[in-house]
Amino acid sequence: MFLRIFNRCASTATASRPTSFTFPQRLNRSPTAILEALNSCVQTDGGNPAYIFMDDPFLIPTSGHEKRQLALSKASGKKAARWIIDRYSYAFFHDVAAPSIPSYFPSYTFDEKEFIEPDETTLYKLMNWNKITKAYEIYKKCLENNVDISSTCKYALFDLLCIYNSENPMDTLPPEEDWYRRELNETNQSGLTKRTWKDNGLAEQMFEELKLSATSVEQKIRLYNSFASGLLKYNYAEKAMTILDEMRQNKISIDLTTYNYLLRSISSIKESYEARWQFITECLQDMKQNSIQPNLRTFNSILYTLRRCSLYEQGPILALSILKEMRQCGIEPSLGTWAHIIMIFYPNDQIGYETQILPQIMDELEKQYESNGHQFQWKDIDDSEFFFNAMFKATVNCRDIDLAKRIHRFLMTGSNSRFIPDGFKEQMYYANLFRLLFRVDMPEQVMPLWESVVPNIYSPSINVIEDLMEFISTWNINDYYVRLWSDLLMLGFIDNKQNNRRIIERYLMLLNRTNTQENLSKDQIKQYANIARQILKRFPLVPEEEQKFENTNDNQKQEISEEQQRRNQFKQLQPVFQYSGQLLSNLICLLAQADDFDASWSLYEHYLSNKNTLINPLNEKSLMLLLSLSIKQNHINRALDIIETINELNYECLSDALDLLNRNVNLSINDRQRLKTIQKNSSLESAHHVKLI
Amino acid sequence: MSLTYLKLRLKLPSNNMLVFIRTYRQAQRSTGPKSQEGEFRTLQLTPAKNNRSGPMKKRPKPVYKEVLPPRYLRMSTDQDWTNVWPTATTFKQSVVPLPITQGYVASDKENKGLPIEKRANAELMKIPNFFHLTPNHIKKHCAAIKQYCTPWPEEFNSDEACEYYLPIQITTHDYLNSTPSIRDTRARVVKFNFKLTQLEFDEHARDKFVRLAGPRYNTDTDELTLVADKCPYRKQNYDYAQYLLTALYFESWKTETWEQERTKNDWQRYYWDESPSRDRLLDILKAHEKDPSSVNSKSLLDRNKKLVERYRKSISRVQDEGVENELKNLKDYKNDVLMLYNLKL
Amino acid sequence: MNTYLKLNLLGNCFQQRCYLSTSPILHSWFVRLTNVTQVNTEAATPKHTRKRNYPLTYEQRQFPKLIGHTKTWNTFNTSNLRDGKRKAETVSDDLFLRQFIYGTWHSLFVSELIIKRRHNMIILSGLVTRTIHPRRMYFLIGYTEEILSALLKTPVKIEIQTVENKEDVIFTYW
Repeated sequence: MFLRIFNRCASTATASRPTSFTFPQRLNRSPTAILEALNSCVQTDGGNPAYIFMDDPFLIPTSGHEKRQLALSKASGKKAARWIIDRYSYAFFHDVAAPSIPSYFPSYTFDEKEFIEPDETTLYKLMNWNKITKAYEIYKKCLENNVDISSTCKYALFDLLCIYNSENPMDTLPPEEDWYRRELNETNQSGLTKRTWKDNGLAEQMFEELKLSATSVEQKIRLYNSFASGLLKYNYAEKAMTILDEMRQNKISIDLTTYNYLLRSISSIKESYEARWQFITECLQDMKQNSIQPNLRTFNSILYTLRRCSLYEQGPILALSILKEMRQCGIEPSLGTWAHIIMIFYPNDQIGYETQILPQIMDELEKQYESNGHQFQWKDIDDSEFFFNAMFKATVNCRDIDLAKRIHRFLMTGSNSRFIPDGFKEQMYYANLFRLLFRVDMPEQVMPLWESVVPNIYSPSINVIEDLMEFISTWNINDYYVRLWSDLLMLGFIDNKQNNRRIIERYLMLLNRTNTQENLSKDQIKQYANIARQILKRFPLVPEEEQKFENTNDNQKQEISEEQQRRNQFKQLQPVFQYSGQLLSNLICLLAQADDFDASWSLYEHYLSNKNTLINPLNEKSLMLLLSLSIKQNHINRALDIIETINELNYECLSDALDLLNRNVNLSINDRQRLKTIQKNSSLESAHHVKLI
Repeated sequence: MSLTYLKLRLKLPSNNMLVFIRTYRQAQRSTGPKSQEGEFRTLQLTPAKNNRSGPMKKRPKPVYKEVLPPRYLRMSTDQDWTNVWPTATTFKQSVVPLPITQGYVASDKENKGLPIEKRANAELMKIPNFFHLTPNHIKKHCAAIKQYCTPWPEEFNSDEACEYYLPIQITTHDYLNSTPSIRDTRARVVKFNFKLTQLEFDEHARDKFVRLAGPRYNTDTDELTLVADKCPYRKQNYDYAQYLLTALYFESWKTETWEQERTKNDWQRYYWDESPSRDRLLDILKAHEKDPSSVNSKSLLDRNKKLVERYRKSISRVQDEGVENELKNLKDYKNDVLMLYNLKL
Repeated sequence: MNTYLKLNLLGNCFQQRCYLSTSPILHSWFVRLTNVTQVNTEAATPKHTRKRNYPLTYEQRQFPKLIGHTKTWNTFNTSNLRDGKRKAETVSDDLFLRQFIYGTWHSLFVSELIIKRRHNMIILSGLVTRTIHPRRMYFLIGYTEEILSALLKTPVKIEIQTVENKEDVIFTYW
């Protein structure tokens, strides 16, 4: 600005400089552009807990239900605070912040007296505060009292009634609750096309009223369009079609939003796929005639309808043509578009293996990502389905590991992880991913991925854990077994009373399976034995008689105070950990290998005393191990007991057992007598072949 | 107010007229421990201190969950620290994989004489840490912000070049405080700074400008500084400073009528052309001529241009320059005068 | 100070003597003062107990003269820098915060509350024992964050670390 008065004539001593010089222009950036740029430096790290949790070993949730509990308790604390703020609002009005932060003030409470006056300003206020039903009441009062209300106000109210289906809109939930909203909001789970429009509700009444009073063309357009959009949004297709016919008769032009909703709900209007496609083309032509430019929502709605035509042969071709149209209109496809296309190309679990559409989609997306400056914006509601669908189809239909990993890598770049909006989708996404990887991939690739995601980003469900255990057993990743125990503890599977037995059985089978195959190091044997002891500590062996004893003794009941009684009852209601013979035998194997005679003998005795109630008998391996251990430690009587048990159970290994004991030099004559009697009594042939001294 | 204690005297019946009703709680001993036959049974509504059986039992602390070992044990050595500690947070001992100690242990009694580890160390939590600004962090941040930077123009390769292209410097300050309010009154100050050589002046204008500027003009560096802080907002001050500058500049070019009334006391430098010294010189030169009255002064000066110039310069220098070169100037003046008189000493 | 009850009931009244010293004179160069409970005490500096079993945390052991040497401040803000703003309000907010946390987190905090102010956020830190279930702790966290933000009109964040029990923080026995 000063250039006109500033003159370059002064400095003659310096070299001549070009007077024409353009300064580089300041790059325009939004107020938060730098923050967003810094934000893009951060990738999600699998070790950090989610932001809402405190980063402390005691306060990090590991299992799925723990995460939910803690997130919801935090939300509950916030609600409690909010209640106090609203109840004692006089304490919260002192403001020191400049600029002022409105969410730190008590929420505006409604005083009934304020809103009695039927007035236009009242109506606007109520509408701003989302109290639409109340607004309608006031509106009625206005009509009764003959108060003038401008048409903008009326139409605004009508629009709101249509949008929210004559109800007040739901309050937005805090983010912790929002993550679990699928579970909280049961209506969303099923029935995507259930008709929820309120018949003869406030919206319809107002519609009738306004129809009579609507004079200008614009008003009529707005009126009919809002009504039709509302009907279509809440899936009342028949009436919507009648309204649309009315509109066409009265030559009222249809709006873009109505077209969008219409295109979305075609599948509830027309039955056959051909008819649907025809209808779509008709709509598009209508739009073209009325020179309404389609937007992203239009195309996404069309693709949604195509998706609802399952197993339609023309589907993929038509979808591609829609894409071409989009490009021609200059609209960039959003994640939602791709989500629908994926579902069209892979309509169910079997079809679609040959088409290479999914890798192509990933290419496109990566290009888009680069060009958008490494950011993706939420453009459409359907965007939330993309990652879930992509992973679902990649794992189930294509069974392509690289593709799945690519999708996952794409999810992890930048802030794309916000495109999985709730907990349920995330569970399914990772379940699919790991199911595929466990089936097909190698441990060197899978385990790092598993470590990076579990437990903070994803807490696996029981099916995935079982798949994991299978994976580990097929690949024999010995080093991981002990770690797996602590992981199982951490993820809450051991404490979960419904499923823990299954898991523990499986796990112990896993441990024992490897014992026979390879030589384990002493450390590992010790660790396994420790695990066995931990299991015993957590789930102590309660012999059956004691349990019965607690139940039947009436005299003793009076002695025990009421509190203890209550505790006992509570314990009885919880399912007690049922030991089976198989479990016991696995435990015996582990303990016996670590030379822990007392523990294994106590297990054996427990088995003997509760033979009637336990499901499976002890297996051969455990008895043999126990036998060899007792021989090593010179408990001959006990060895003989074991052999008798083997005899009772008619195991084939009796011969080996007899042999083993036979070879032992320290047998007394009585013992050998006993051996001989056992041999005589046994029904196995092989036993008789053993030569006893 | 002090309280008075009155000893309560109970009269307990010796027969069973009073029935002690058993409550839901465990039957408390309402009589003292030493209530044998004949001994007076004292009423104890709450268990007395002497009555306790054994030491106080501590309620066992409930274990809510098995606490995992700290996270740093699981970290790999080649992890990306910028993702683990992206922003400034308090020190977390379970995340930092370094064996850091902090604290002064004066003797073996304190902390068993051992250095104080990071676990349960409040001191480490108090101090600000810079785990969020490691060199890797800064590299990443710079790379991310670079997209908003324009390259430094090549023309700006020296100080003079900068002065040439950027003649004026406008300085504003922003202040950050850890307060809820972002306002700071010191931020309204705007300072304009430039060298007078950037503006076009003639002698009068420059002189007037400098006089008008007063203390805002720095003669050593030939800089004018305008500091505007009258108005409450920075924009207002900025506009005011702009206005002030333009006003100054255009005012300095104007010549008021009263400026002609300048006297010798107002001269900012020695104007020899208006000084009596010139008249005297003219007289001297005229004296050389044969016909004093008929000679034009201008032509006279033209004829003796060299001499006049030298004389003018030396006397101006004597008058203008101060004490520094006084001796030299006076010497020159002496020589010039002598030359004028064609005398050589 | 001895106070007498005017109404003399039954002659059994006790005269309660109050031994709390209330003299404002704590130091004198001229007189040897004898109000022992006041003259020889120093703020936050305990005297050795006979059994030497009074537990002190590291912070409590470093007496106030060592602040800045082996102990650092519990609050960090810009109010004491040159031309810093809002000194008094910051201090009073700090006092309020300490009292609030003391009252809301019942016997949970095992260290002093550490208050850091950054831009307009307040970040509260401290060491907490694991006496309550994580669920309850998160309830408290959500509650304190929300209500303190609403009171002080600044975002308040809590970053606590848990400690097994009080014994972990005991530094020495005085």
